[in-house]
Parts: sequence; C-alpha cells; structure tokens
Amino acid sequence: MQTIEIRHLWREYDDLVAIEDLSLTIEKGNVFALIGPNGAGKTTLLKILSSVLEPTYGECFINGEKVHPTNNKLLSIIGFLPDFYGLYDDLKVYEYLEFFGRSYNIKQPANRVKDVLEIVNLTYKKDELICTLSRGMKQRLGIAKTILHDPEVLFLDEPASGLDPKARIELRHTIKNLRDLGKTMIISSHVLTELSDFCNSFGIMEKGKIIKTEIIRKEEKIHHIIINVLVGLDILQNILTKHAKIENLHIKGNQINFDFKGTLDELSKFHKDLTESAAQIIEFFIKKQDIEDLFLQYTSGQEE
Amino acid sequence: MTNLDMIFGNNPELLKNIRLRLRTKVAKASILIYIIFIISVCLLSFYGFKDYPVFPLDKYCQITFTIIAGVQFLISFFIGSIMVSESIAMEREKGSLDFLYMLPINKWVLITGKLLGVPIIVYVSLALTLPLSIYCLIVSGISLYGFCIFYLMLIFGSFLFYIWALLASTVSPKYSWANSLTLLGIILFIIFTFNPSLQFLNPLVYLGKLWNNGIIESTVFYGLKFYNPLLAIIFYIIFSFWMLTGIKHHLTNHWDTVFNKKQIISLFIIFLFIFWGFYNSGASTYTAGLMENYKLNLLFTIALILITSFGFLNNESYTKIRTFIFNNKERDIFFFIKHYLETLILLLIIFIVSTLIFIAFFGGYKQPDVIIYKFLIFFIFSLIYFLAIYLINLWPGKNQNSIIVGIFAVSLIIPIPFETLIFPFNPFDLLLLGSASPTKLIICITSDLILLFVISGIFYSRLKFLINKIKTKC
Repeated sequence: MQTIEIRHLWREYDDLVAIEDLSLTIEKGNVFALIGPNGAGKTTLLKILSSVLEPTYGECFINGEKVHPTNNKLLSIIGFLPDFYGLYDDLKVYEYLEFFGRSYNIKQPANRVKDVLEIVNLTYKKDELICTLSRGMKQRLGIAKTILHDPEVLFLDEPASGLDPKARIELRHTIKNLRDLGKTMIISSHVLTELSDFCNSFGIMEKGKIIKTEIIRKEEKIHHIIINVLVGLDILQNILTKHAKIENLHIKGNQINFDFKGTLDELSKFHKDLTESAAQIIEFFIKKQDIEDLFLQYTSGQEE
Repeated sequence: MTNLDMIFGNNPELLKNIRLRLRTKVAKASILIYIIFIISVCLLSFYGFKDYPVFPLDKYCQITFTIIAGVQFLISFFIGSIMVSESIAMEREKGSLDFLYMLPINKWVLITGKLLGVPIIVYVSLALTLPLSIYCLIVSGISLYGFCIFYLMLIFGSFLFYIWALLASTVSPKYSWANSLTLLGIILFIIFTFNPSLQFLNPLVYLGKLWNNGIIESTVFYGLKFYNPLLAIIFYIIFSFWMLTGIKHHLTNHWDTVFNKKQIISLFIIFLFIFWGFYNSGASTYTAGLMENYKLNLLFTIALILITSFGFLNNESYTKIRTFIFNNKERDIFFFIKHYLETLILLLIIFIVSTLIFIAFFGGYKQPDVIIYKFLIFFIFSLIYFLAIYLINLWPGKNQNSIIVGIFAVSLIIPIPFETLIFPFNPFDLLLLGSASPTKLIICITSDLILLFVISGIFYSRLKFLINKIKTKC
C-alpha cells in the first residue's frame, strides 16, 4: 500500500530550481532516508510534503489525501520536524506541548504530554521554561511536539542536528520505536551512518532530483569482504572464482577483496568452508558498506 | 489544572498568548509603571487645588478623569496595536508560524487568540484603572452618555486598529515592517478622518467631545438619522469583518494571496454601499455642496484605488506566475493574457454598472461628452496600471517588486500640475478634466494609448519568453 505518492513535483525559487520533476512512492511502514548534499532540495521536499510550501507544479498524496493546507484530515495524520524552528521561550515544557495537544484536539492532552515526555526522556524538565533548555533538549522537545498527535506519517529534517552522542543514541531508539509502531517516515540527515540502522529504503538527492532509490534488504545484501592469507593464496583463489555468490574479486599481494551477495547464514557457511580448506587465513572481516558509501558511489559528494 | 486552563482551555492560542505575555518581566514592569503613572496623575491633580479653601472634589475628579481617559486612549490604540502587529510576523521570523499553519483547527481560534491574548497587558492596565474612571464619573458629573460613548469608541476603535495590525502582521515578512505598516495605517486613518465630512469616524474627536462636554451630532445615512458614534461603530464592524476574512483566508490557505478577487470586489461593494448611503440621504454634511461631476470623479478615484490595492496585495512573485504557467499544460499566451485581464474586466463591469445607476438615480448628466472621455481615459489607464503591476512580476525578486509597485502607486496619486506633460498619466487629474478643453482631453487619451501600446508590447514579449522557457524545460 502506498502511503506517500509524489507526482512530477517541481519547486522553483525565482530562477533557482530546487526540485525538478520528482516522482516517488513510499510504502506504508517504510523508513525512507533522504540523503544528499546541501542545496539538493531535501528540506524543500519535506516542506512541500508537510504543506508548508506550495509546489510550483505537481501533486503529492499522503494516505490518499492531497497535500494542501486546507486539508485538515491530512494535517492531522502528518508530523513535521523542520531543521529550523522556533519555540516559545517563555512557556514551560508541558505548557508548550499542551498547547499543541489542545490544538490537535487530543482527548486528555495532559496524559499524552506525559507519554511523549517519557518517550523523549524530558519528564524531569516538564516544569522548566523552554528558554532554560539546552540545544539538544529543545530538539527533543521538537520531536515530542511532532509525535504528540500520534501521526501516521513523519517528516524529520535533520533530527539529530545539535544533539550530543548520548542524545543521538536516544533519538535512534526513539525512531526505532516509532518504526516498530508502523509509522511511515522520511528522514533527511547529513550524518549518514546514523540512518543505516533504522532505514529500510533510501533516496539520494542531487540538484533537485532523486538520482537513486534503493531498498535496504536485511535478508540478502552485498557484503564487502577482505581476507588476508598467510599460505595458500592459489587454493583460495580457486575456491572463490568458482563460487556463485562472489563478485568483484581483486587480489593484491596477500590480500583478497570481493563482494559476497547472500544472507548472513550463507556467509557463515561460506566462512566455515574457507577455514576448513588447506589455506591459512590470518584475517577475515566484513567491510560494512552503509548509506554513506552508497551516497559517495552515486554522487560527486559536493555541496551545491 | 490551573485556573487559566479552566477559563481559556477551549482556545489554546489565547491561553498560550496570555501565558507568554504576562510571564515576561517587561509585562510586569509595564503594568507597574502604568500604575505609578496613574497615582502620580492623581497626586499632581490634587496638588493643583492646594490653594482652594474647600477642596473641589468634582473638579478634581473631572481633571483626573480627562487625563486618565487620554492615557487609556493612547495605550489601547497605539501600544495594543503595536503588540498585535508583532504577533504573526514575529512567529514567522522565529520559525514557529509553520506549526500554526499546520494545525487542523478552525483558524478563527488563532485569530481570536491573537486579538484577545496578545494585548493582554493593555486589557489588564485598562481594567485596573476602570474603577477609578467610574468613581470620577460619579463624583465629577460628567455625562454618563458621553462616558459610555467614549468607552464604546475605545473598544470598537481599538479592535479596528488591532485587526488592522493583525492584517499588517499577516502580510509582512518581518515584524519591523508590520510595526511600521500598523502605525502608518493608524496615523493616516486619524489624519484622514479629521476631514469634517468624515469626522464621525475619528475616535479622537469623541475624546475631545468628552473633555469639552461637546454635543454628539448625527448623520443621515440612507435617509435614516444615525448618531455619529453608532454609524462609526457600524463602519468599524464592516471594515473589521472584511479585514478578518482576509486574515482567516491566509491562515487557512497560506499558499494563496491574502486577498483574492472576491474580497477586493466585496470591498468595492462596501465603498459603493457607503457612498450611496450618503448621496442618497442628500442632507448630510458630507454631500452638501458636491457637484455631480465630483461624484463621478470620486467613483473613478475609488475604483483606481481599488485597482491599486488589488495590484499591490496580489503582488505575487515571479515564482507564483511561473507556477500558474506550469499548471496550465496548453501554455498558450492568450490564455494567460485573458487570465490577467479577467479581474480588471470584472472590476470595470461593476464600476460601469454602478456609475450608470448613479447617473440614472441623479436624473441625467449635464456633460455627457465629458463622461465618455472620462470612461475612455479611465479604461485605458486601468489597463496600463494593471499591466504594469503584472509586468513587474514577470521578473524575479519579490521584495524589490513590492517596493517598485509601491513607488509606482505613490507616484500616480501625487497630484501633478495640470500643465505638465505628465498629466495624462495621473488618474487624479480626472478630477480636473471636467473643466478641461476637448484638445486637452484628446491629448490625454492619445498619450495614454501610446503608453498602453508600449507596456502591452513589453508584457506580451516577456510573457512569451517565460512560456517558451518553461515549454523547453518540460
């Protein structure tokens, strides 16, 4: 089932084309990572999807609802955390969330506020004025506000910006929890490694276009393997060239590089076969290829 | 749950604004300064009567009341308006407005929340001194009628200005712009309504009457005799409601312009309704001595001001026009030209019909040839102006375009001496053309036609260029 559908989207700022003829569909329950250099159009795309910005051309649908500021049904099923946003400094944390709780017509907003404060680990700060919070706490408050009305679809623009390493880990847990609850999410981030853990698909944006979309399959993926051999290089070479799941084999000195395409079980079995052969292996390790590698593979990596 | 929650729980925006505004140290200090000021006024007034053998309490109360009323007037009109003008524009600058746009609530909640919550310090200050005002009223012998009129005008006048401030805040990208626009609007309104014929709209006049125990006059409107404050309040409500619909429209659909065609036309109808009401009555001070020619000129002027305001308020950027071109797949140039002229033609039809009704009502016109000339000039001029406004928007640069349109509008309404060569392009010279010779009228029409031809040429070529550019891209 398609939750988010984007059809031929264009957005221009005067003569600058921020998004150019972008079409995309994201299925329900997917966590879609939006990656790309600065100025690629990620923020613009998220703003259009959350009805904050008007597209120059094209349409977007979320759960079959057309994205438009007058569509109240749509507004109640989406949550948007922009990269830059203002909070009301002279309100207390719970007052701020209660304001949105009442505005979203949540029954018993106080209980829901309590719940979301626990999710983002800010309960101990609920009676504090927002102006006294640190940058990371404010970001967590922003996330709490975004998930307050229990939206089905979430758009998070650079959610980890300004967070310290501990807060980033907590954020990762929060997003994983939301994913497990079946929320559909689009997350844009510069810190690509942090997306790898919880995203099941990603899109690389460059110059207003999505140049690559890919589903990250946990069950079968390409593992980049490096082996260092002491004795029996020729034996190993013989095994590897005959193996059906091996691609891109390179040998340099005593080091062998190759890609193994298969599940973790198959990889484990393959590893056992190698160790049982006559060759003496001193090192066998998997070079983790994450979104960052894919991003560099498909883009120039330069800022626009 | 706090007391505030229980009282204002149904309007979260109001609750939020009350909390935000009352919690700051500045708010507390402002209220304190206000109280100290009022106490000082009371003490100083007391000192002024120290030489009297018997303390004249009634006179003392009269003086104290007049000063307090003046201060209340200033605070509620100016300070309150400035506070409201910052509301939406400040949220826009701080980046919290997007969250408000995204709330799936009736946007009247936001509007009432802002209007009642943002100037809460003003309301608190007024409420604190109201018992003193009432005491002074009882003791001093000031007329209860005058007292009630003053406070009614204070309430309705304040709301008119607050709504204007909220509108200024809605259209301004920065709160400093909203402040300036609000103050400019209020000052112009007050100066404009010092005109004897419009004095009934000026809240300051009622303050003066309260001080001098002046007589409150009445005005005939549609043959009915209205007390001036009542008529003023009716007009305040009409204009307030009109502005509120614009604000509501923007908060509901921020993709669209603040005012759309319907709202501009409704404003035109409101103006017609008001002016007709005065002309129809025939006995008001406003219509006394007006010539038929002047009536027609006035209509032309209103229509031109409306076209100006339509152009200005819809001064949508280059991006918006490109959006429009994008969304129409045929991308035929005549389709777009038709779109631009549609609004102008609609305005003209309303204008012509209403003018004809006017002429019919007043039983013929003494100079029919002048009417034809004026219609021609007006029609050509409207085309020039309308095309010029949209022409500016065919180039990138939103803010610069607004400034250019503003300068253009101001330059047109500055009265230029009739003898100068520029007169054909000044719509206000229409007021003078009633007595102009046919030669001058022909010069005027010819030069306007030449200008129209030049602007149309530039407009056509630029639009064609843009359409071709988009065609090649798609």
